[in-house]
Amino acid sequence: MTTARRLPPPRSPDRRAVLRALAAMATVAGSPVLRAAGAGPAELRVITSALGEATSQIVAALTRRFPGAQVSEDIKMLTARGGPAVYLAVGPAALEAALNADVTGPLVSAFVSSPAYQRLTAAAAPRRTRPVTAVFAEAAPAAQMQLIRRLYRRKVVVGVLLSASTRHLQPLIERAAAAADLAVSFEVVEPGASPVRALSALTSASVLLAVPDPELYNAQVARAVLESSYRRRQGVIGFSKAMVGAGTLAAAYTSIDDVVAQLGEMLDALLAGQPVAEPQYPLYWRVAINDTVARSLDVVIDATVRGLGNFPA
Amino acid sequence: MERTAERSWGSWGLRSLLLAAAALPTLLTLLAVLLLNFGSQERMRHDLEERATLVAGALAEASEYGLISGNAAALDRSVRELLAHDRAIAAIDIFDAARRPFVSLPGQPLAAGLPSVELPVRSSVPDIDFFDRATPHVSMAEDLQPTFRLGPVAGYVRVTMTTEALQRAQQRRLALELGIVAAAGLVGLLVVGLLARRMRASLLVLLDALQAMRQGRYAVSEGPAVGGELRRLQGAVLELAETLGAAAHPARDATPWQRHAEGHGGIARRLMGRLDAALVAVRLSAMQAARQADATGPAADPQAAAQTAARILALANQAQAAGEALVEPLRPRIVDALGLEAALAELLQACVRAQPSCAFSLHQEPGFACADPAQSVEIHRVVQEALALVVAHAQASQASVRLQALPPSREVRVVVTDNGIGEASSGAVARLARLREALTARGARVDVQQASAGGTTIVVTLPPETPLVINPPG
Repeated sequence: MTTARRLPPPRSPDRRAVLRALAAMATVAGSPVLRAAGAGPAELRVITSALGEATSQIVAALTRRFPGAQVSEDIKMLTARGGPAVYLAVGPAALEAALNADVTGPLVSAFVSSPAYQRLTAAAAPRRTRPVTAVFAEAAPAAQMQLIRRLYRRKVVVGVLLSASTRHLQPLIERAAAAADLAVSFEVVEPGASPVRALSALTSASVLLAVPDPELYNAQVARAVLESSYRRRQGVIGFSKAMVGAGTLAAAYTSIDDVVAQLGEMLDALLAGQPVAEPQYPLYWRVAINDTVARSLDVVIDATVRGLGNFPA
Repeated sequence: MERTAERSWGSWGLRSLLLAAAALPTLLTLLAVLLLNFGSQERMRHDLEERATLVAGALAEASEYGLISGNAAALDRSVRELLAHDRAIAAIDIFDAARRPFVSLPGQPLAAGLPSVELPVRSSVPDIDFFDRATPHVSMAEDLQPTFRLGPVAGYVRVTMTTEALQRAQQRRLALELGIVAAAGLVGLLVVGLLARRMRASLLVLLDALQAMRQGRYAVSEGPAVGGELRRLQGAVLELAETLGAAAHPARDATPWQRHAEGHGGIARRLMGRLDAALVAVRLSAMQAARQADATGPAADPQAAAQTAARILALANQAQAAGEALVEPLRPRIVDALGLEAALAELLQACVRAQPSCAFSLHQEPGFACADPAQSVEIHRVVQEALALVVAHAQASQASVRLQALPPSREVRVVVTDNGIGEASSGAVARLARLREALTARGARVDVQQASAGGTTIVVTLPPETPLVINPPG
């Protein structure tokens, strides 16, 4: 059973603060003092939040890949073990706890969306002294654009709602759209404004790309967003498999095994003393399709769409 | 009170009673319709509240998107259509979550106290992780079957109903119902009035007839044609009039019924006249026969004497036939009317009344049955004659009548027994002899046994079908 512990409300960091955080991360990552400690082999210490079904599956996958990993909800117990270590925070709650704890080794965030990662790291930036990197929870915008291109088989306009906390994604999304030969239209939703009303500014778009922004997409507005887009015959591309079940047309998403496979490569490098890499989107991804919505929107789903993705070896 | 009412109803005429009987259901129906209508106000309000709940529920479901998206225009259009289609809705107000008016139609102040229902707009929201939770952001295998939960209040819908339209409709319906009941009542009263008029006319004719008969006028008219019990009453009155008329004027009619009503005196007179005429003819013929018998020589004519004898015999037969025909009305009608058993029981009761000191009893042997009317009359006559002997001469304290069927021959045996002194008097002997002679002439066998200690038993065996000569009069 997944524990529904909600994050504190986002503080909407401004662009300048985000850039400061990213610059600090890049500097720290390249610093030799933050390499994995050389006094013997480093230990992988996995920080989790309260155990739930998702956490249990993630921990099971990780311990299969790293049998010697130390897993605990108690970060103090992990840090008390001493010696060189690489820390892996599983989920937003664990990341927030690790950022606020006296952790000396490199910290890797996993199963946290990029907006949540940016918000948490930006909030902890003033007192952070160790390198942090991440494998984001959602598929890369490039993967979403590939999926859209394959679904519509033509150049269509992709509408994207952004808020202040996700506005930094605009260049990345534009590059991904251009690479997939798609046009993109952005609408920035001001704080306090209704994202459903903002959809009226995206009437030219054939498809709406959802980004994991709690200000724009949450349980309260999701139904209205889906209803509104459906009335305009716009398909919605989600960022998780659950959103497809809730009524979006399709989604590029990553499974636990996809993320763990990528984490294996990253953690192997860190444990071997290599420098901390940049936060990155998942290398491996796959697609989920809502066939009912696709039929109602006259979107033909063939085998190439269903087989789309990048799968670990 | 009830007696007063009964007396007052009892004094009503036939027409008034029938009209009252026809008008009462109509009045009760009108009263019931009015009472039902009186109790319908609360029911109407209850119905309106239920309807308001239904409309508000449907509208709350449909308003979610409009409230969240801020699309008031679409909601306004939907609400206007709803108001146009349902005249019972006075107003619809939709508020946002902060209770600020979002859509309000018709937007005019309403009277207080109207049925009103307000419901929150709460949708079911997908219970999935939009990567906004503290738990790991991950897609699970089972995520394609999301659950739903009740979301926060997005607004409120208030539906206010008006009773005006329904009241108007109800008043129209009530007026129609009352009109139909009143019309049906009027038609019923008209029909009953016509029937009462006709019935009253028939009864008046019968009353007049009875009054006329009371005054000795028996020529009554039949009156208007009627059916059922009135027809039977009319027939009875007419028959009574005919009977009484025939009794008052016996010589005028000659029907069997009237002959029966003439009484035994008339029959005896007619019988005497017939027999007297027959005896005169027989005497003259006998004198001629005597002269012919005294003649000798050439004057002797044996053939003429034989003819005269044959004529005398024919005259005797004619006299006998005429006598039987005249006596036929004396046949006991009670047997025809009541049946043999009841007639014999009546006969025994008559004997008891005539001689209370004697116990009379009637026994029918198993298997005894008499379906032949003529034979029943004959049995009744035999018993009547035998019991007449007992009552007149026996001085008995017990007398019994026993009826027995003789299956092989289908004969009937009548046994009359008493414990009296016996029919030793000359009158009794003569009467017994006449009975024996009459019954023997009709084919019956008679056996009379007298015990030495007292008591007499008369055994009469009747043939299977006793001929009963009934000749038409004249």
